Amino acid sequence: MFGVINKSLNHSSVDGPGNRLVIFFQGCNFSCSYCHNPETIKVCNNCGICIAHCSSNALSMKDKKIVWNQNLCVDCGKCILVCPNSSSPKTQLLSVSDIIQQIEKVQHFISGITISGGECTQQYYFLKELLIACKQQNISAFIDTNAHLEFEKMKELSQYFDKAMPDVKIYSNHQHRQLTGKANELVFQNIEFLLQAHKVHEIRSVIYPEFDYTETIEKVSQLIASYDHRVIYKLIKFRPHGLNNKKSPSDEIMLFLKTRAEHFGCSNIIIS
Amino acid sequence: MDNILNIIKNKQLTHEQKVTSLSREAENTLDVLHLSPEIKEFMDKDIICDLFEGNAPYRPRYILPDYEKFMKQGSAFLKLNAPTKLYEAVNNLLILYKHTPSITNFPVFLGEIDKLLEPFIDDEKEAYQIIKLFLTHIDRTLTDSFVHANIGPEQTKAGMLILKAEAELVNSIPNLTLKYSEKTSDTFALEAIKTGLTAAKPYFANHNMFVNDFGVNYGIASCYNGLPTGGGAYTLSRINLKNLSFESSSIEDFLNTILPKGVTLMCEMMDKRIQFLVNESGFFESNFLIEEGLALKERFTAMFGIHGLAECVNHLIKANQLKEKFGHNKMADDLGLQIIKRLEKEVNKHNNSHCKISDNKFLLHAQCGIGTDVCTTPGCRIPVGEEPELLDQIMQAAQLQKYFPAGTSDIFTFDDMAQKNPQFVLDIIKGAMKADLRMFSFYTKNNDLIRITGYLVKRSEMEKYKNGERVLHDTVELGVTSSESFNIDDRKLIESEKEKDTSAKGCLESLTKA
Ligand code: SF4
Ligand code: SF4
Repeated sequence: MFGVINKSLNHSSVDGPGNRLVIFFQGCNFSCSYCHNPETIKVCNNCGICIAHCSSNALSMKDKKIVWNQNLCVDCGKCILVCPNSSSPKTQLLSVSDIIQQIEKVQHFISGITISGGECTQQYYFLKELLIACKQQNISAFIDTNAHLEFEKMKELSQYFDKAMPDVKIYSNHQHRQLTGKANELVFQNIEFLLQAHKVHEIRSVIYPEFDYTETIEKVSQLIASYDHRVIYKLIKFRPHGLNNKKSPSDEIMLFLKTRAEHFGCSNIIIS
Repeated sequence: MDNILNIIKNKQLTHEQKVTSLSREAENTLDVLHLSPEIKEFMDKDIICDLFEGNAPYRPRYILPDYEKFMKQGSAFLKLNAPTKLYEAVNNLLILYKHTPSITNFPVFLGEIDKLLEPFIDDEKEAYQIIKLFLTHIDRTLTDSFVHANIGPEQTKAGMLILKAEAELVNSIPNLTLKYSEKTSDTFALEAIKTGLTAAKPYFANHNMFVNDFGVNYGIASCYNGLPTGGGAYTLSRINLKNLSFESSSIEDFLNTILPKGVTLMCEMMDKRIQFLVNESGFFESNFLIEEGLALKERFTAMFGIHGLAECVNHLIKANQLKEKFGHNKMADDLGLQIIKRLEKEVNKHNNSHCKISDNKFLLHAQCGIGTDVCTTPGCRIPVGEEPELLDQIMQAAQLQKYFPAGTSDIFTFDDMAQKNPQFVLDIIKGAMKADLRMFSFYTKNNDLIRITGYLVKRSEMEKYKNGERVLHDTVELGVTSSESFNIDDRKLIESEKEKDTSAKGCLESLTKA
């Protein structure tokens, strides 16, 4: 079995405790208007549009499939910018053992790995296989997820990962639909289950200037406090990027939200 | 004579700085070393450099007194008894510091201050106040960033208090090293990292590697120099590998002819310096540190410095594009390693009977540069702005750092996010130590206190100096010139998550600026 991998990073300070190798899976079931990595949303359909835009000749078509030559690529990002399909020609098909080898190369430098995306649970079976392999090798594995996965599958998966870092986009179901295209009952059902099972490292909310987060902060904080107040609640400032140049929320707003979270019983809030 | 008058009239120098400069001028009127024309030629071409040690060496460049002994026996010359209380211990140390000579006239090694103070700590609250005064006294009176204290590897009450105090005071002096090994608890290491992300110190030194080279009685002095305690280094000279490479016609010519010639000439110069210092200056017959056994001549060695390896390699292989250069290309890195191995071999052919502690050999040192260096990268570092991905940089540096027992370091710059996740930094340091990196130093990019090449300076102090104000610490001036010629603000930032492209702008820019 192969996974479609967008990229991986040898070191990250913001994807769980300590230094972690991060693997970004390709493909997502949400399409958030503020997505920081829109090129991870869909799997490439080999339309070939990006080829002409690469000035380094790193892209070509072979057997109706896009081919990326890593040695020629200068990481200019143009291909991603022009892709009409929220994808990237630079994804790779990797096996579990490919990834384990990659981890072993840096194992002295990391506390563990974090599987992110896209939405990693979209490649459920590959993810499960990778998590099982990590367990066998004693590698700590976290997942970064939007928690929009069938409940039974989440339950099953939770045996194999060490901790999850689920997102709560927004509490109001109506706004959640508006933002992501999906309802959020499942998200909360899964998060409650994970909290109960002590499988949550942190919950994350991106603070986007178009919405009011007061209610979200209140509900998530109460939820955290009712299970374990030490679970981190990370409030991530939206940062303008690519085509979305809306302004970041101010420091005052972030601090206000932090105080609200504390008020509702969270003790471990990080603004990032 | 003009020089002397200029020093006297200089409004930017403090009184102490004037006195030091004047004494240097006086010393340099002598010619007692009688250097050969070949050496002089290489000095004129800026290939060999005596690092302003002066024309008539009258004290070892670096002395690392045996403070443990001093705490036990006091000093007859200084009329001090062994201390029994913390305030006495601190007072005794401060007195000895002021009587320990060096190249800068400031003590370059303050001892393993946690171990020295630990026996006297009972009331931690009071101890914290005393330690803060101790450190403040050091910063305001030993006004040179090459003043260096050590702590670790074991966690102690004193060690924790020192780290807390440093994080609170954010002083540029003293330079600080944590000797790190598996004996260091994570609690202690994490406290050191928190301090480091605020105050740009301590360094993390690979304790096991240094013990392998020196035994347990070693200290980290001056910028980052490993040396025997109860001894030190007579002298440090350096060879500019970049300029040396300009003398050669090919890689083979460089390795087989030019490099050995450079080594021979520099060894000859170092021999002359040591000869005068040991046999003629009278230091070893008259200084109380020697008389009282706080330093032993048998524990002195000498340091053979190099810098500009990156430019040397890039010149020899005619690398222009980043992907061909040292730090980015296997062939270039292999040549770098080959040069250092050959250098070690050549230096080890030379014997000096005054260096018993190091088997009569000179010890290699990757020199961190001086203010006037333009486009010559310290030691064997990768040029600022050209650093590759973090783990690649560590692995590349580790290969080379093991050849430099007398000191080397690489500097890593973190973004603000690291402060929220000190374990992140610890994971990287642990990996680096496992990979045999000798010295890891780091700071947070946007802080006031930053590491220039091997020493700490405040950005705010440099601004003052640039505006013509007098500043207390003599290394501020050095910081101003060095940070411009090394473009230290272009140093690659270890970002929380993203990896950006690096562009090799560094040196070209500074050339056009100059
Ligand atoms: S990122 Fe690489 S593949 Fe994409 S356009 Fe730029 S050079 Fe071509
Ligand atoms: S990356 Fe986008 S533009 Fe390029 S082939 Fe795939 S879908 Fe088409």
